[in-house]
Amino acid sequence: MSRFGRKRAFGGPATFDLNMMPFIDIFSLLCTFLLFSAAFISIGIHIVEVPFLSNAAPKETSHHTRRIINLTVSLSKSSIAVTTTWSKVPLHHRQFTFARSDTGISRFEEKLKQIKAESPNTDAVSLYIDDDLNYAQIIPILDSLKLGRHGIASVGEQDSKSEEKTLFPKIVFSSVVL
Amino acid sequence: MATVGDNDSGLSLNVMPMLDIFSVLILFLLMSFSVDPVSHDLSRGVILPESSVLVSLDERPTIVLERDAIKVNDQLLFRLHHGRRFSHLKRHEVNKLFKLLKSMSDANERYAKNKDRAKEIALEIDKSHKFSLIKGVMHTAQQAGFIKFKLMVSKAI
Repeated sequence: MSRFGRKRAFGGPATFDLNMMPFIDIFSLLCTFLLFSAAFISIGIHIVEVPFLSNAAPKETSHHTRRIINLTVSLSKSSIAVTTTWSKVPLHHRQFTFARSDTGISRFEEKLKQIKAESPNTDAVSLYIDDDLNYAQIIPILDSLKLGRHGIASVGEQDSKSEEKTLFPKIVFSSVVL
Repeated sequence: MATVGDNDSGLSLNVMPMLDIFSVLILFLLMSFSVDPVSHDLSRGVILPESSVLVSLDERPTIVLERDAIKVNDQLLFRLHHGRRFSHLKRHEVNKLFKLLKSMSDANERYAKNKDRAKEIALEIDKSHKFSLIKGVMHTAQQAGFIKFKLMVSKAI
C-alpha cells in the first residue's frame, strides 16, 4: 500500500483503501468516557414530608394501638440531638447527643439502629433543623436516617423503589411549620 | 456508493459514509443514555449534594433553587443576590410564589388520578442554600397544598 492508500495490484484497477483502526480506537475510547460520565450524573430523591393541619377524622392505625417509640432528631451546626419517648406509659423519655463529626455520626447511626431494634414499628422521625445549616449538611443526616449509611441498605441489597429495608422511611421536617 | 468494476472485480459497496453517520448517531444516543425513569439536565446554577439514596428521580423538578435565583417550572420568579434570605423577600414576591404553587396544586387536585401524588412536588436545590430559605419555600408550598417533597440529590457511585 502506498502512502495515500492507493493500491495497484499487478495491472488491476486502482482502488482506495482506508485504514479504519485509528478511527475505531478513538471511538472506543470516547464511548468509555461517555459511559463513565453518564453514570456520574445519576439523580436520586429523598422523600420528606411537612406537618399539616386537617379536620378529617384521624385514621385508626397501628400507631394508636401499639406502644412504639416516638423519635425526634434536632440538627444544629455542632451537634445532633436524639430524643425518644414511648407512645404509652411508661414513657421513658431519653435524650442522646452526638457531635457532627464522622465518629459522632457513626455513633448516631448505631443509636438509630438500636432504637429501631427496640421498636421495629417506628417508621417516622420528626426532624428539627437549624436555619443556618446548608442543604449539603442536611443530606448526610437524611442518608443516616433512611439508610444507615454504613449498614442497613448498601447498593445491591435493596430494590430502588421499595422502602421496606429503610430504617425510618417517613421523615417529617417539623421545623418547617414553626 | 456502488461501483461497477471490471468483470473480474464484481460489485463493491462503499460503507464509509454509512459508518460515519452511524458513529455520529451512536455518539448522540450515548450522550442521552440514562437508566433512570426520568432524564433531567441539571440547571446551570445548581450543584447537588451527594447522597447514598437509591430512589431515582421520577418527575421533573417544579421548584428550582439556583445559587442566585428561584424558578418555578423554568419561569424565573426572583433573584437571590448576596445571600438574600427568604425573610428578606418582599411580600409580593412570596405572594407570587404562593399563587403559582396554589394554581398548580388546584390543577393537580382536579385532574390527578392518584390524589396522594397530587400533593407531591420535586425540588432541585443548590447545596450551598441555607435551610432558612428551603424552609420558607417549603412552608409556602405547604400552604398551597403540597405536603410531600422530593429533594433532588446526586447519587454517589
